[in-house]
Amino acid sequence: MMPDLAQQQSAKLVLLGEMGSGKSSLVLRFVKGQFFDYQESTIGAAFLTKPLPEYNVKFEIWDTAGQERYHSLAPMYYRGAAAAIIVYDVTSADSFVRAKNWVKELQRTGNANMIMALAGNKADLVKGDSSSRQVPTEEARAYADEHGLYFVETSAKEATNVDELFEEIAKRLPKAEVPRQSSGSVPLEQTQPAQASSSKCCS
Amino acid sequence: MSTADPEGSRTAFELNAVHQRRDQSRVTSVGVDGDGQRLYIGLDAGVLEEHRLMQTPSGIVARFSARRSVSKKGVVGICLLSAVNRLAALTEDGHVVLCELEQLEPVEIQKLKGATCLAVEVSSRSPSHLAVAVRLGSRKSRVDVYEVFPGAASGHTMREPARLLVEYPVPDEVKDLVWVGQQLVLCLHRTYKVIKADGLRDLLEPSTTPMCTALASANVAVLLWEDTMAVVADADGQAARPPLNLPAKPLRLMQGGMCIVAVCEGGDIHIYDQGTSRLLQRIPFPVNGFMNPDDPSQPQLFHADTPTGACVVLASPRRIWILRPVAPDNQAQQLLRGRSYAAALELAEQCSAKGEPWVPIFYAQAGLLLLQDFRWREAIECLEHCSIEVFQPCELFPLFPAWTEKWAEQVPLKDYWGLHGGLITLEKMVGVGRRYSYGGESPSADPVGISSSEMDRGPGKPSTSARDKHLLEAKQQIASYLLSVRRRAGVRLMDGIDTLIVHLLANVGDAGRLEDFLASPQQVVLLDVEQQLLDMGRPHALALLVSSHRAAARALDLWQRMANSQIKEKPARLGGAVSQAGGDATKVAKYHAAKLLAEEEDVDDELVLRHLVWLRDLAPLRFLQVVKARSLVADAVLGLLPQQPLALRWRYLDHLTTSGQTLKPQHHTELALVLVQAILEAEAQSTTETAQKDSAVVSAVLGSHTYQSKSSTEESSRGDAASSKAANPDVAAVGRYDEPDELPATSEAELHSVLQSHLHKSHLYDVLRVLRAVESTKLYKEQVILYCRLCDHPRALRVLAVTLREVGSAIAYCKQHGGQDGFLTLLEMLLHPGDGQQPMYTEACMVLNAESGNLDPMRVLEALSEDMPLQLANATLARMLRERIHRRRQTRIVAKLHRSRELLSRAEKYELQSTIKGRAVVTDESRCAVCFNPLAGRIFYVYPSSSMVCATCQRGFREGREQEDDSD
Repeated sequence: MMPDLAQQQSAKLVLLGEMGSGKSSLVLRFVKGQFFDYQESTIGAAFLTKPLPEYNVKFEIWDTAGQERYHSLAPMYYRGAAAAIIVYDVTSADSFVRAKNWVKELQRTGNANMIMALAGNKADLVKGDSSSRQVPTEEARAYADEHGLYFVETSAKEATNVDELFEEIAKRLPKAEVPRQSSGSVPLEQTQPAQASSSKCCS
Repeated sequence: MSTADPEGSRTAFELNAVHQRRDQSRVTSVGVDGDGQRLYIGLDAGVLEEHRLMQTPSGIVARFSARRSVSKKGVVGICLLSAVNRLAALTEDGHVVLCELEQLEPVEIQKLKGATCLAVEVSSRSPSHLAVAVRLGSRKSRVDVYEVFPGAASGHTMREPARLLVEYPVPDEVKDLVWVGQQLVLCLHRTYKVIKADGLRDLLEPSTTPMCTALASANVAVLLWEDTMAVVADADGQAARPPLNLPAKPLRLMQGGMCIVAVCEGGDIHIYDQGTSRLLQRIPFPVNGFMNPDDPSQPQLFHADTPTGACVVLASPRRIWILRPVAPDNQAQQLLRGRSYAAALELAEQCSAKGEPWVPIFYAQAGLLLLQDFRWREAIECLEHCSIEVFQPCELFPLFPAWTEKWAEQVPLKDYWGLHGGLITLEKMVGVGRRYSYGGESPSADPVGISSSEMDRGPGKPSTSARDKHLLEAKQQIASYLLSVRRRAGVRLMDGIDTLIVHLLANVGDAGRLEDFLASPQQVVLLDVEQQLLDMGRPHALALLVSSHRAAARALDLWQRMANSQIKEKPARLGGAVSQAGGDATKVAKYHAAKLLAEEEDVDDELVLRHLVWLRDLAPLRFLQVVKARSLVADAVLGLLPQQPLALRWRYLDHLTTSGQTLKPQHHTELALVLVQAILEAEAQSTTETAQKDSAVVSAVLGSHTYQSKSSTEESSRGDAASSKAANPDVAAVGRYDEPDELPATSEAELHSVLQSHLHKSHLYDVLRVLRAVESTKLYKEQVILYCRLCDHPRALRVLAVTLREVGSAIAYCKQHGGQDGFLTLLEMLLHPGDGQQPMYTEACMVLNAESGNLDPMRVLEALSEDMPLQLANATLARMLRERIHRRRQTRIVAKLHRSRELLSRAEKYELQSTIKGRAVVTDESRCAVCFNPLAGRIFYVYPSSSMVCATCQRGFREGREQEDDSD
């Protein structure tokens, strides 16, 4: 039986990567099963949700903008994320370099328990003709193994390994996420200078 | 609202000019209470005015209520502290004045100078927290947090209206500050910071001048990140909503209703949905008309909002406007009118979480509209959201008047928001085409594969194929809806709903769901659907229906006719039992008839017996299942079972006897006789087959080509059948219908086993009659059982040992029944088998080996004939002899041992006697060892231990011993 939606575990998932690497296409393929040849650039970030009842998980997906000018916004999206997918384009060596930088940044500043996946997108472009491939699968896999990332080559266009990628993350999520700590409040117990000064007067 | 507005746009807010200053004073700040009922205006002369906001037919107007001078300088900021019934006013000279709302009597917060901005924590608790930013220098500030107490009007007796709780130094100028929940977010010169326990923490570094507002209901803040983009984040710096894409740099950001309001450069007010950050509305607003003469780049624009979102106030120095949110249900109606279903559903979902009462009505209305737009699946999803109190499933009856006519007058007539204009028949609806050529969103992916060109014929008629697809999809979806909601409590006209479900499912050829539905409890009106089911070739569904109406006889008749191919089940479009059975309606009929006969207790025996006749011929195994499941009169069932074939008869008799249902000797005897007959027939058949095989071998030798050819054809046809079964999953997954109907073949050995078991276990059969039947046959083991039952052990042994030559069995038989005589009889039988047979010396030796220890050697020797070869019996006889010798020797040893013990006893006795004679000395002082009386002159006894006892005591001992002996 399908679990109650209210009991589903919410998991924040963020997609990071070079502009044009196909982050939005991957998300759109996964969430809506759609693909557009000309996907508009994401401005800031996009937010989508997708429940996976079989894994008792509801993904809250933040699809970030890849443009460099939005880089400083990224921490807002990966902060508190349970999982991150770092996307690169298999036909662009630069995008792979950028992906490595994202991995470094997440390892440095992100959640230590974050599940990270490396997705080499646009695999359809190198399926018949490997001449356009700039990132060898072995190299990416070795990098992923070295850094403890789940690695898969995907094609949002042909829906190759897209569901598998998200499902693998869902499988790796801890069963019950530790509830987020309360944001707290303004500390109001500081020494009160007003009172201090008045006592000074009376002394 | 422009036609070029994005999808989902609507009138979410209405802008009303509510106040125009007619005196010389200028507005320098505004405030509004939580309910949006009272407007507070701060003026440049240090005056505070209160106005009541009134709703009139012509719109909202502000009516003057009170006025109070609170400062010598202008009032540049107003914050409402509703929980403590106060207002905080920031004056141009950096002071903060607290006023009670009723009297507006000002009290200045002491020792506070240089205040630049205020923020009130959104909370209903008292005292309230007021944060004040204080400028200390060019790049230095401080944030003070005060506790503000209720005024004297509230019965509060505190001397001071506010008490400083804490102050935080800030190494920059604080431009603005907002409470996000219980945390303070500061807009500094080039950054946003949040006050945490460990000090100030960076939140975000924008690429433009910071500007922010809090969304109190969500505990998040809207932070301007670049001129045309604002992010929505919580106080921990985590994104909470998608960013807002602004058309121009905002002048003010506010919250209102369920929206974010931005007044942007260029003059428009932009309304964004709080949940999705999608632009909902654009309202022209001429900000250029009130530019600041001191700073022409900035307009003189003041604003106020409320945590509840009741309204937003905008003000120029001379005029004030109120932005009031349109009621969400009105927004939803507007969206539905424009067929912006996705946006409308999004809005309803947000309001549903807040428990808005109009949401169920919305879903009913949206569902009905979606039906009219042929968006069947979405329509049904909406209707499923409605509670039964709001939308009764029978309200869909007008779509199918031909099938629901009799309930028409009982259907509640509701127009909800009056947007759908009532339902017409589905046929007409689809025939006419979509009701609206709407400018809203396009239909979602069509599940029935209708091309968009077909869908978008607009108000014109759809093509015939599209029409048929629409009808099919509509009926399927409505049937699904009715099936899912009919179980809910409070559903009216259940009989009509169930009847409609049958019509719909039969009409779309969904035999699978139709049969499942009819097999479950329902209230279908049989008369209404009976003919349709027959006409549409659904006799099985009809049989299930009549069976559920306790008309078992009718159901069984239908299945009988199906099984005899008198009525046909038409191929279904979706599922169905016949489809599961690979198209074989007979299998289905047999299965269900047998199930009903076996399980339905209300079916009388006469009806069962009547239908067992055809079941016997078409499905003997199911016949057997039925008769085993029911307690029928055995003779009546046996009357249905002919003598040939015997399998069914003996199985039924076997069931009767083993289950203890019959104690009649005739049934027990008949079972034995029928089994005997079955075995004999099987033997005969096996003989014939062997002969045929031999003949086939000869033929094969003579013409191998022909034989091989035939064989390969058979193989090939078997292969084809297998591959066809694998290719067709329906055939592969026939499931319950795949169970065999025919009785499984029983081997001769199994028949023997059943007969022997019966002969062993039953004591009710006529032994002699059965024996007569088997005597002249090769059923030797059965003969043994019968002879044994007659205690004719020699004959039983003869069959075992001589006929069957199973000496082991004969020995076992002897051990169980024969004893020594039996063994000797067996030995005799083996040595003298008679009928010209040679003596079976080896077997005889086996008998001797098995039982030699217990047999009398003399009788054995007498039994052994002189002709018996000695070498065969040598070992056995030698052993018997050795054993006899051993036994004799053992006896002699025992005798000798007894003799030796006797001699020892005698020796001991004599020794004692000699001891007593030599040692007895009695003096005057000698006394009896028992009574201690002197022994002198008296008769006494001496024990071997030299103890002397008087005669009296000795007599007492002796008598006592004798008594003990007697008792032993």
